[in-house]
Amino acid sequence: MVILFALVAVWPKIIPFIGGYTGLAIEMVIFAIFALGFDLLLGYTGILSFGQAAYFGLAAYTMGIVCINFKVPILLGMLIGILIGTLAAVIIGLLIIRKTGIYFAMLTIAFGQMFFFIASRWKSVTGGEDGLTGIPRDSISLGLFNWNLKNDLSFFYFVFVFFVAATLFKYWLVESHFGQVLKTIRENEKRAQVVGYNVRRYKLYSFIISGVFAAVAGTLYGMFLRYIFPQTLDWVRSGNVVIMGLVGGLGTLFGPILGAGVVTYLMNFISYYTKYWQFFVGAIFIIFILFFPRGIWGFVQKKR
Amino acid sequence: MKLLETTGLGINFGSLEALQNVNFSIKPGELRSIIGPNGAGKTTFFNLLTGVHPPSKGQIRFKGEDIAGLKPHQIARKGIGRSFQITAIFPELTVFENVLIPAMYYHKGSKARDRVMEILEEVGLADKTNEVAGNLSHGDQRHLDIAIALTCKAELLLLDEPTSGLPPEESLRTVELINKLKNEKGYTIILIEHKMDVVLKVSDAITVLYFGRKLAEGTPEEIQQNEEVQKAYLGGMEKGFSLSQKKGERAKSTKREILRLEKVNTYYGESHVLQDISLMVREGEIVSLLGRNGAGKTTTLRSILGLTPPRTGVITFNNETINGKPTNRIVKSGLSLVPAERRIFQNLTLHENLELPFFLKGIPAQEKREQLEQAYEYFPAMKDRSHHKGNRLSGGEQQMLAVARALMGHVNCMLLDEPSQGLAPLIVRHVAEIILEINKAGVTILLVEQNALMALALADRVYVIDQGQIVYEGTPQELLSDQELSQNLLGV
Repeated sequence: MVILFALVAVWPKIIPFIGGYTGLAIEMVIFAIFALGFDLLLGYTGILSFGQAAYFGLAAYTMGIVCINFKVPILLGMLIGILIGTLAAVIIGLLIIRKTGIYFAMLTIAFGQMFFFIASRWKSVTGGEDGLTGIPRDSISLGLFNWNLKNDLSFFYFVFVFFVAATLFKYWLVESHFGQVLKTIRENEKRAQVVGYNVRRYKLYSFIISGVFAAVAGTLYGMFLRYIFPQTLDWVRSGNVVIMGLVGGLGTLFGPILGAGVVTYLMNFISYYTKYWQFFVGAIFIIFILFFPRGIWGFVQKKR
Repeated sequence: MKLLETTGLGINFGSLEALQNVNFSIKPGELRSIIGPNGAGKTTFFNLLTGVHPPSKGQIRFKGEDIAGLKPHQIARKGIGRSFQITAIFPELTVFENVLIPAMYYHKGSKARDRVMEILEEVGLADKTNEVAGNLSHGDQRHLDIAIALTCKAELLLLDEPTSGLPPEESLRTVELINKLKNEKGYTIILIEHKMDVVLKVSDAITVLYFGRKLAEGTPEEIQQNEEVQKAYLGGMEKGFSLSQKKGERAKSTKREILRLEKVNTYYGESHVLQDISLMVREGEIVSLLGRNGAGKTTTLRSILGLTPPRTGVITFNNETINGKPTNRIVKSGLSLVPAERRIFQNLTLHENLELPFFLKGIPAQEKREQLEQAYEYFPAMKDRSHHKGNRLSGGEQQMLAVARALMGHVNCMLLDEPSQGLAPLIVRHVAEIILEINKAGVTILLVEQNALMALALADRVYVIDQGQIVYEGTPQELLSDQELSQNLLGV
């Protein structure tokens, strides 16, 4: 894990050699946080959601709205954004966690699209299709300590702090009693219940925590672009995080991080050369499902 | 003082009264067996006791407290542990984790680990702690299922067919475990079981369920002598296998070879499962292939059908070489399989399940209608259930459906894989009689069985397979008359 952190820490220095730039490195790390949370849900608990972008985008929008309209400091704006995103996950989770499998997945899409349409139609608040521009990202100060975020590189390290925290938290979580119970739910939900675990509550917590990860990533994404638009909430983005998890390897610590990096990089790289980039991303996805069903990291683990 | 008591317990699924007015009680330390035909409501009874379904009527008292309507996890915490008819373990976790994670709710830190080792010791899995549960043998998985049930500080254990799918010698191991849990560890146990030898050996008392009602209750001797129970369930089958029809009435076989395997070798990856298997079936015959778990019986059927194609050897059917052909072509040429565990499509109705083979085979509508009618004639009980979904059918009904489904289309040879598995004694006989009837109508049968008595009663000729090789070939009479041989080969 130390190697991972060291590697990510110097990543902005390495990425130019593979045709990237600091901004791309930032995006990779933000999506790694998003994918870490998603993996908790699908990889460890065995619940498929196609609506995780809702909490990602909702948090970003909330932060944008309070920061632009009410001149709230950016850190407080982030906090409010994350809280609102989490709150949405709690409410939606309570409503839909009793459903399983395909029905659950469909409901997550439905709720995700609901937020998408609100964002694209409620022009006076969200800026509609044009999105919300001018999210501030200048400097933060905590007492004596001052951190200028205008520069992409320094913002990278701001994101890096969250990434380290998210990775450590996820690691601690899946190794804990809680994480072990999630695994038994994935393996055999009915049995987990009959040995005395309140399965529905565990599933709900897993869903909410996954929502928190998404919300954190969402606010960072809004700050990164200084701009937020309805597609951030779209189910296409929810689908992307599913792809990241599958490509990297679900149910592992490093898999989703790797997957987020690879998929973000490929999308960027291919779209630079052709406007049909989505076709190639789809093809890569299919190849992974067919030949590496356990993702890159699962494949590496098997080889060792 | 009763540990558990139900009064007027009942549940409806739609219009179906799955269980009605069940009054049941068990004393601490008692071992009670629940028997009854498939679909009698035995597993439903467990589902009510463990909160999987809330009862529609009646009370459930555990240690004097009403637990009806509580959620499954709440009931587990009160001290009722349960094992499952279809093995319910956590397949991708290790044996240790399988028991540890449930135990962690009840014990903290190192105490949980100690308790896990204690439990694994009790069920005889202490030397396999680090194996991945999904890779264990079926027998070990059944024991692991029981181990998981022991974690929740259980006082009352509900065991749902713990010996299902186990050959005689492994059933014996499970019986020893059950006796130990009762006598040494002091558990109170309710046992659902079809194997009457097991039931008679371990039970203090027996409760008989029949179509959702309690038919009888008493000591093993009383139950064996109860006329109603004999009529509804046992049919004398607990003393050995007998057929009501006479085999002599059957049409003579024509002596023409229909299926032949010549020096067939089949591998799973690197493991050499079938070693030079040769066998032959004549038209109109019933041939049984007997052997222990893992001897290669199912693999033989899979090889014939091309599901696991043999690496070397020749298989001919109706004078045509079929090895190397794809399964769908082989099936189309008139071979069909009744798979183990039935493989009914759970979300299709019984009727839709029956219709499926016709899509594959492209048979004219008129003929299809006739064949469907014929199927309902063989199995009159299916008619009322024809619009029920597969997952609403009892084990016995599913088995009949699987046999009927395999008959659809132009079938002249049927392969049956353990049709008696998990069925009540009386239903086993019913299935056996239907196999005879189908055979009379001209269908050749190759039957794979662990239930040696049923297989021997039906067969014209017998092959015994052991460790991938044919070790005996002959008539059932010859095999049974040689006591030493049948003891060695079959444990009967």
